[in-house]
Amino acid sequence: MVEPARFPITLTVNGMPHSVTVEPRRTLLDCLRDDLVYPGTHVGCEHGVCGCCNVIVDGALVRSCLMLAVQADGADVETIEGVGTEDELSPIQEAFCAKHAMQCGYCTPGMVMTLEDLLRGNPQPTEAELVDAVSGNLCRCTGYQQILQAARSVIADNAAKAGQA
Amino acid sequence: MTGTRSRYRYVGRPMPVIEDRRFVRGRGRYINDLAMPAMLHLAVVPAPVAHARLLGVDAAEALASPGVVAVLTGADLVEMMEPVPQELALPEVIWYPLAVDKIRYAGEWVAAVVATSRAAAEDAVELVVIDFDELEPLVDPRRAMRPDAALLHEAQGTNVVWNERHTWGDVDGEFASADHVYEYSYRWNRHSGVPLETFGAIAQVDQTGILEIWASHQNPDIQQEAVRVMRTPKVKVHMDIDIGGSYGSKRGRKQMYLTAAAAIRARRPVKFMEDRIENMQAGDGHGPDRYYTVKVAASAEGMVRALDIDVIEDLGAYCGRGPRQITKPTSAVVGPYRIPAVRYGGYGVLTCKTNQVPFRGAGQSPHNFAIERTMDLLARDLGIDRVELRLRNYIQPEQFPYEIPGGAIYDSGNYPGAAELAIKQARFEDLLAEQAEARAAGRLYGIGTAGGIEPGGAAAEHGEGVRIEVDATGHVVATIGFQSAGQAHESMVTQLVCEELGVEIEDVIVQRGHGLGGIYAGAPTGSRMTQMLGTSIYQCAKKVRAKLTAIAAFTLEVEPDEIEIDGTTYRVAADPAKAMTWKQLAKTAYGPRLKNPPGMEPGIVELNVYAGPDIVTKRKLTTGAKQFPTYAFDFHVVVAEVDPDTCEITLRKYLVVHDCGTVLNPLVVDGFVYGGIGHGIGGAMYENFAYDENGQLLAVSFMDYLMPTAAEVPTVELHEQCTPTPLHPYGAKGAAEGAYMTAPAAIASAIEDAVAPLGVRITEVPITPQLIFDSMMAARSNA
Repeated sequence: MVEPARFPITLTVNGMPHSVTVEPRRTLLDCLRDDLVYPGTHVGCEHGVCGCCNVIVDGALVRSCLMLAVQADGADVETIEGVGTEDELSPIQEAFCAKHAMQCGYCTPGMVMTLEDLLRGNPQPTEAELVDAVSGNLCRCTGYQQILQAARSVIADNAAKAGQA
Repeated sequence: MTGTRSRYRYVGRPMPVIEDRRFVRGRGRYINDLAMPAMLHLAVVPAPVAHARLLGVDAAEALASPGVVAVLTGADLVEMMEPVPQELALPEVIWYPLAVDKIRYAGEWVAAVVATSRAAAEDAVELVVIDFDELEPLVDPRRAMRPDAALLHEAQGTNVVWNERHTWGDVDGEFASADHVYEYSYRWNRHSGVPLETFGAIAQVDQTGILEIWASHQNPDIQQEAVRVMRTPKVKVHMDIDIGGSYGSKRGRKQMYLTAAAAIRARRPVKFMEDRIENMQAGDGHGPDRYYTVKVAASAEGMVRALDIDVIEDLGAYCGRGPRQITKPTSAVVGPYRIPAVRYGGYGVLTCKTNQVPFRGAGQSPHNFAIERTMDLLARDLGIDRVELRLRNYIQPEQFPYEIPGGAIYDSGNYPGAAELAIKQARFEDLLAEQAEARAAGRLYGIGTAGGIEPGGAAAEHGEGVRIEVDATGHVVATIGFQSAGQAHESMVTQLVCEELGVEIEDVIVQRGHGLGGIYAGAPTGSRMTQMLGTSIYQCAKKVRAKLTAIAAFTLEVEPDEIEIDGTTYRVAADPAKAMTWKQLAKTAYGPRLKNPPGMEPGIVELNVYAGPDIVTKRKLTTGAKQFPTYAFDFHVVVAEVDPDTCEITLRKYLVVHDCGTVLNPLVVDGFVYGGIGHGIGGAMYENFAYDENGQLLAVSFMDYLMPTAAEVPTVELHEQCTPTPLHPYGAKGAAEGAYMTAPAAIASAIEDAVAPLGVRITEVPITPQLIFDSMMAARSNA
């Protein structure tokens, strides 16, 4: 058997440009975790159901296990490592801590990326829109109650701010 | 806010969870985030059939594949290691991580390929050729029990590996004299924890010859077991990573030993990270799989006089730790009821399926399902209200401590109080009115109730250790000996250290040890750690305070009993101006010996192992099940609606009253209750590790193993009742399993109530639209 061919790609992750050579079968998830070492994006099911690997690619929420790395050539990728900082968490991250919207933390990065994506485009979604968005991510620990509580608290803050403006 | 909470500075407060700060930023460190220099990767070759004689494994082509370093087979492992230890020590049921002479279930690992990348290993897996002779697949335990069935382990002579029957009280007499006797049958299909992180392990031999293992395991006892299995005392099992969910299911013994053997063979670090199919087919992670027959003897007033419970448990291909789940329910065999006589027994049967693992309640959830379904069906058959029947039979608050048949002792509880609170908070009368209205409009609308007991503090007699150090600058380091899967143990340790030593959260560092770190630790199973670790911290902190008190007394020239402690200040009670601060005490302890009491060891390092309360450690249940120190309780009210055309089920309302005594941190405990209900909804309505008649697992992805999403789990209304236990310094009981143990029974109760007008009874989970449709058709043809 011969060694598989590799292709060079360039992509930006959290504002940082990267050049890397990948096999065409390699997923964006593999590339982010193993080649570029962004381990906050988690491996869950590797078939696009659980949402643990959600990242934002060119402004759209993506299952990084279902996207090939070569498809991300030239893309602008945002991972959990690009959301908030040690000293200043994003409002969603802050709310997740306040409501304890997690237990083991494994689904959390994907869940945060889903809500970042939702609330950036639509700061005051309806309850149905919120549940619809969160239902794209599995969580085995929380039963979703505290996740939804956290999200609702951010949405309420957004509404209050919009009311003041 | 209850009186017990306000005594404390930290206990009972919704303290932000320390772990959450790293998790929200993707900074948790899980097994898959670890890498060692020159690390290799392992992938396994799954068996294509359920039952076969294994004639040979040809790895020649795989070994020639790019990047492949080694291929291991079962024969290699027989030479390198002992079999994996199991719950039942049967000499002829021998379990290795790779099949040796037989294939015993579809997906069983037959060979392992070690290569420079996981992709290279997977490429080579496809080149391994397995030669086998197929045998009759054993899928149904009721068939596998029969004398003419094929044998999974021929030398054992039977597929039945557990067959016991225990009788407590005058069971036969009660049945003979009962006003009413009924018999009900139930089916609990396989589901499990199914954490989003699969099991993973890394092994290497370090520069001193020590075999190091990192894994997403929850069991520190792997340290001792690995010494025996890998035939070397030089083992160091690390316990300092985050685990991506477990619920009891992350044990992975087979996976760790296989990875260790591969690292020894390849002389390089090896990582094995299960993919989803490997995890679901062969990860030894499935839960109970039961057929129940329950006979009940009752008086005309509905007082239950005796239960006769028969279980057929489908254990899978090897004993593993599964059989523990058959006996564990005897620690709460009568649930919350005053039932004087019980017979409990049955069969544990080996079949062509992956092994069971004791997960979330270790068999208590199906047991509670059987008990609570029986109470509902008995109420229907006797024409007594379901809630009223339960209230009549509950153990009363003044009867504690209460010994149940089989010898387990319930510490405390208020079951009628919780049930009545739930009925009140749910506005049950209104629900009944809504139901009447809905039924009049032709809707299938049901109200369900169920209560459940949660034994907490598993394996108390095995003890739980903690080491508390106060360094010379006054910072506190608390070291525990196990790693967590989302139970917020770092936060609990910090909270209790702050409570007991008066220090601030920022002053505490929680460390996790490893198997050679000198911390005696048990696994976080059986809702154990609040009880066991919590008490250990309480006791250890007392030792620290005693030492600091001695130093203060010596310095201030008084007797130790003249010192009073106010937060971190140690002062003379009669003369409060004479005092030492925390920092002064810490500095003194590490300072010149002349400033310390004669003979006192320098420094402040205290070790404590709590071995459980006497009431537990001095008793053993006749079934061999563990006695538990504390018993929590919860009561659920559920409203479900079934679509008469599609049989689709919607949960319209979910309310729970939860009583685990004192709640240390409501953020954490609420999460356990909510999460347990979510898990219970999955087991009750969606999740099923179904096998076809050839023994092929039908649910090998999240496309066919359906877990509830936010769209399926309704908003849960949670109310607390607080009945503190006398067996814990803060009055806290275990909390992480109860909601899961009760939810399936409550959901079944609601769905049955919805379809009851059609003559349908619910005796099986998962309760799918297909199950309801089939039951409706059967009821119609019987009518």
